[in-house]
Amino acid sequence: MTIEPSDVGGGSDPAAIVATAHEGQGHLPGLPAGSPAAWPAKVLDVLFKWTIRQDAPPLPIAFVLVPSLVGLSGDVLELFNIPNNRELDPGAVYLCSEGMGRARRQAIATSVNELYDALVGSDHLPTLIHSRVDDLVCWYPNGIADADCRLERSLSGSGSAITTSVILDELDMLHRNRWISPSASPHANLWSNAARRVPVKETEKVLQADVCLWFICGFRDHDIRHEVIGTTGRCDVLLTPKSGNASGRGAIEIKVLREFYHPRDDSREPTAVGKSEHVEALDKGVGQAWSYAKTHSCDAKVLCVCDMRKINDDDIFKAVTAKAKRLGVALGRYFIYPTDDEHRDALVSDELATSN
Amino acid sequence: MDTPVTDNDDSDVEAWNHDQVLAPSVTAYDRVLAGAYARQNLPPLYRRTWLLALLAHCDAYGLTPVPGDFVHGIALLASTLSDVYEVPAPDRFVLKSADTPFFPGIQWDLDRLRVAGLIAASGQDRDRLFCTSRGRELLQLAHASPLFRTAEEFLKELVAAVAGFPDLNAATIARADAVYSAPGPTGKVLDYGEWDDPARSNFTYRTTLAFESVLEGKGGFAPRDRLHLYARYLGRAHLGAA
Repeated sequence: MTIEPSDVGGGSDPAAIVATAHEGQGHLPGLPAGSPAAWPAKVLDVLFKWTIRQDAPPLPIAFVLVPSLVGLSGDVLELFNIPNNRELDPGAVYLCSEGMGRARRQAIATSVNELYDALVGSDHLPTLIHSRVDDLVCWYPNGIADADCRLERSLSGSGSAITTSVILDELDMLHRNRWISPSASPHANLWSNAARRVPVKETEKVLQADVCLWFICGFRDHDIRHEVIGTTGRCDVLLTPKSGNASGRGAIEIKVLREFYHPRDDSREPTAVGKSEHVEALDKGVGQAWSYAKTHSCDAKVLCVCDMRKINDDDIFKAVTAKAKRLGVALGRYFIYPTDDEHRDALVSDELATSN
Repeated sequence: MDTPVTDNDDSDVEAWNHDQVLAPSVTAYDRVLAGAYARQNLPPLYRRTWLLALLAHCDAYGLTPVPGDFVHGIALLASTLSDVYEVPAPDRFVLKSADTPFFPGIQWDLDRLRVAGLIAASGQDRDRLFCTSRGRELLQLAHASPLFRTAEEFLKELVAAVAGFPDLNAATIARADAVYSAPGPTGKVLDYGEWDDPARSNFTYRTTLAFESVLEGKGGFAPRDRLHLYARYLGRAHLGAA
């Protein structure tokens, strides 16, 4: 399509608009800058793109997100997101900007202890550590001082095929490792007041970020995009192949079921969310997962339901199961418990139910 | 404040022409701006918080210390692109100059933010700005404002988009921005929403809408995509304009 100067006006350049729109389609950032997963995703991109110095001991590499690089010491690394025949140094602490466009490399440690000592001054800052020995990534959103709140994921054994069962397996793994109970990840930022069952603000955003990051770690041959706009709306998480090695396309819609609706401004008392509202949300979610998958030509379509309620009633799911089956949408239900007590009680109930 | 001050306290400030406003050197300038500032619809703190957030995100994305003219350039993009996110921008017009974009009101606020210790300057001419830790602390308080939270989401995405293209600077923005490079003489008021309907007069916003129409219904671009596309567009269009 061509654009005439009068279509836009001012000093616009119609040829540049057309070229930019076509070129930009495949080169847009997968995650919004405000997503909690945006920076770790950029770090992973650097890890995947750069080679690592092989003649050095297999020490971890640490990346720390600093609020400002102004006045910080260390070797200046411009365009850190572009390897340009450079190598990452094991044992190094890289102080990074948000976009990973700039970084400072601090002194290189010669042991793991020395590396962690080097992080002491910045132990409250978001940090990602790549352990070379086991090819493990540890993401500390609140810094290494809050080690309980971390997301761990192996980079080895990453898949190259996305199918419905692969997505469900991965979500199961994420659920077990991070979401299920306070012991799984004591401060996973999912509850702002566990005793009163108050989920953290913008729960969906936190969960979406976890899902994105989990898949980015595991599927480097796929593009993992968040809130992808299409003709039918915004797909929460879209997985599409980005290289010839990869196969399969997937759409994930995330729904959070909560016990209460908590007004944002705390001006009113929380109100209970009714059963019909939950059914409505699930019904809508099934439709969304199906339509986004259709829009983006995905075979795998999953509705990921994060259940943060106390009541475990299957009725609301039964109401949408038939529709989901007919549309080929897989339902994944993930209970998120605010306390270990509740988690244990649920396990006991399940055991009793199956043994009867 | 680096603006040289003289005793030329001119009472006939209304008679100033645009070039004098663009290159102020007298104390009366402050009075003119104070008057203009007081007439704004948005609370006065909004623009300062807006600027502080802009600089804090420039810090976070490694763009700092930012040259002063680039701050005005990014501020122009922030105000013209704010319609993409439907957030109110503190400035809705700019005077076209032969050089790079310059907002007297923004300079007024930047100077005061410096005096307050919320931003600082470095470089030989002390014209490269960055946000101080005190400035960042203050921004945390500003998160209590729902209006600011929405604006900040937009500002962060904008800075992320700008940071993705290291070639962008005040000159490239001046050459390629659809509003600022609109044909017209120096001193012309480029109104992109102050009095005129932004749907018609904000050519930057219209450019971001045009990205959609290129696709002719094959999907679409989210607002954040349109910011990143516009930064990419600037890099391309300034080459054509050079």
